Amino acid sequence: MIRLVLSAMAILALLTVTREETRAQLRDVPIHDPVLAQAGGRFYLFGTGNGIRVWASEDLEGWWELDPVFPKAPSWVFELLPRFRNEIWAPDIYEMDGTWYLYYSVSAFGRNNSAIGVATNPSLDPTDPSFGWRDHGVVVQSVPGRDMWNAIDPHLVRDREGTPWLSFGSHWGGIKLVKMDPSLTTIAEPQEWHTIAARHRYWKLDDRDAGDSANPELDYEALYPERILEMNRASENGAIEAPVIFWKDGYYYLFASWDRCCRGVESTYKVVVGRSRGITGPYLDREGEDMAFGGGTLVVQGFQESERWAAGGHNDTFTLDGTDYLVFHAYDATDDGNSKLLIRKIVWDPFGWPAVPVDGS
Amino acid sequence: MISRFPLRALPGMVAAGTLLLLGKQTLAQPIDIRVHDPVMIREDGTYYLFTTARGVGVLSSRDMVSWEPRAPVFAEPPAWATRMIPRFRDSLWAPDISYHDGTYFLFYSASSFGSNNSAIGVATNTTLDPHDPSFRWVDHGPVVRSVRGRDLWNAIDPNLVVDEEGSPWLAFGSFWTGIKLVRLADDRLSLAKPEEWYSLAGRQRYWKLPEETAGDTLSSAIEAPFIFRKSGYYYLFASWDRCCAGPASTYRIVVGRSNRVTGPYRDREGEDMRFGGGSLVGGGNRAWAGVGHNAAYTFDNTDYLVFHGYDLSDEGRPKLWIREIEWDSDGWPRVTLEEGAQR
Repeated sequence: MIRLVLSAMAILALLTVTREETRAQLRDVPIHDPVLAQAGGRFYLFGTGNGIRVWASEDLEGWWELDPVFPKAPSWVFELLPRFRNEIWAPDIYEMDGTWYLYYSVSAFGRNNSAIGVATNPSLDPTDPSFGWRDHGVVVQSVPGRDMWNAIDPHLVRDREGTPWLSFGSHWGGIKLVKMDPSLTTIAEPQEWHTIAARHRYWKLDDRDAGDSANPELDYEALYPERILEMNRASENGAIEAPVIFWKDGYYYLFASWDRCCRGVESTYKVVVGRSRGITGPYLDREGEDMAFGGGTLVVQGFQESERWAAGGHNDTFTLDGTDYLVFHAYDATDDGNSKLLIRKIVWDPFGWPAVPVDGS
Repeated sequence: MISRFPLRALPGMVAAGTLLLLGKQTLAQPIDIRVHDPVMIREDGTYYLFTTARGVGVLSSRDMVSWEPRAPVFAEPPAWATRMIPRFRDSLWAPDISYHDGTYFLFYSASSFGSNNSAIGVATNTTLDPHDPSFRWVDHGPVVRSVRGRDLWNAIDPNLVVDEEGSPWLAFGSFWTGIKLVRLADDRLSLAKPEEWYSLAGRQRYWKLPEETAGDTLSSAIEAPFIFRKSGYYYLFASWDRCCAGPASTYRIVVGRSNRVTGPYRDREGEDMRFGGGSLVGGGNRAWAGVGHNAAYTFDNTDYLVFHGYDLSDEGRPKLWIREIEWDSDGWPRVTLEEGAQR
């Protein structure tokens, strides 16, 4: 009870009122899988949640929540997921020629019956008369039993020649990169696909299992001996997701998240990186290991370096006034392991490798 | 099917075929004609073989022994395959022949060596008799396609199977992660929607193999599924190891069975074929480097295995085999290559 009261006081203390507007502002944004955009002097955050949750800020410090992108789930989703409850995961936001492209993931936990869709809007400001989300439907879909990848966690990136690519993926065979059509709403034909990051996955896993024994359609006790269940519990079967590709000083940097998200203080999520001269890879880590075969250099850890943040991951990158930031979520051990927004400066070492002290500013 | 025996030689087989009415052979011996990946069907007392060749090879016979070459299914390669498959070289691989409700369905594979930029197409005909006025192959284009870097399977080596409810499925696959099964629409010309897929059989694939690599004899070497229903079981035949290497071929046929078309298929020891299981049905011996890529049929209450073997007495060239299947008392199939073992 005392803890409850203290938590309530803490939340109240974080609510502030702006000078011009009376909306409540939050300093601790309860977000998963954040991406950040800047438009018209404001910042916008998009994150996992009902209809895709959206926050706005004037200063990256105080945030207020806007209406979700999708008050109702896009109708096409019900063909794929008849019982979809509008929980939309891991969005990505990208601007081209005055139009905002919002990629988003629909899925069901533990399965790769999934798709990435895209919606567009000429403005991110709900008070702009032109504001209005227009859905374009499926960009890429994964099918259980067919695909060794999961069509979630999209990230759109344009290479130095201007060709757009979509990277995505979670568990199974890892992170995919597919060439996009110039419209940014479909993949390019003829299709060009690459696997740019993956971790070891024991070959005798059922192909409907992400590698975490979380698919409710499978009877794991009948399927696996104990040692495989133990590998899955220990995130030793392909636990990688959430790619982001960031270009800097002649390299494409591929960030991805390893291990277990979404378990509060039990989470073991972390961010790793590799880099490549070409966007299709190979992305090599600091030791020269290829991320397609398990390589990755740690960028964000949790409890190993912080007393407050148990684990963090699923990052975006953002450059403001020449400074690069990592935007991600982390599980706050001082608040029941709740997920919070963190925006941290990326520290680049002399060899061009990024580090992000999670307790930094 | 990964690196086929020199395929340019195969059209020559058709030309030479006019010479190869070989008199009296019995099914206890190999049939001395060169074929790869044979499948067979009977119409009005005539047997037809379809094989890997330019335009899909066709032979016919009244007795399964003397075979006469016929015109290939396609005079010109399907235009869609030339457009869709990089480095496509006209040769259509590993066909499958079936009959349903007045129509013959010929599935075939379009690919290029060692790549999984591949597709399975389907053509139909109302008769296989070229003298019938209604004889005409109608191509319906691709049914399923694999894309390098996207798919860890290869859309070749099709086999149509009908389950106990009458639903059609397509089994297929070669190397990478192995054998797939996908439900077909009732017209048998396209995939059922929403798509329904299963993995049926696979062998260990070293996880650091580049995804564009098919595999090798140590990794992923499985292909050519054929599902045969008998006595309440679905029997999944597949071919392991190395085809198409003449005397160095190590091809062999394995089997598992399941109560359901979607699996799991278990071998004699109970091992799941998805994870390396498979009981030997037939393999090479001192005269035959290897045998594989089989089909299985019942004609006049006798079950036959149709496959090819690499003849060590003829520089390892692939030859047609048609053998009676021997079923043991536990319901497991075997074929033997030794002369005199049958009949």
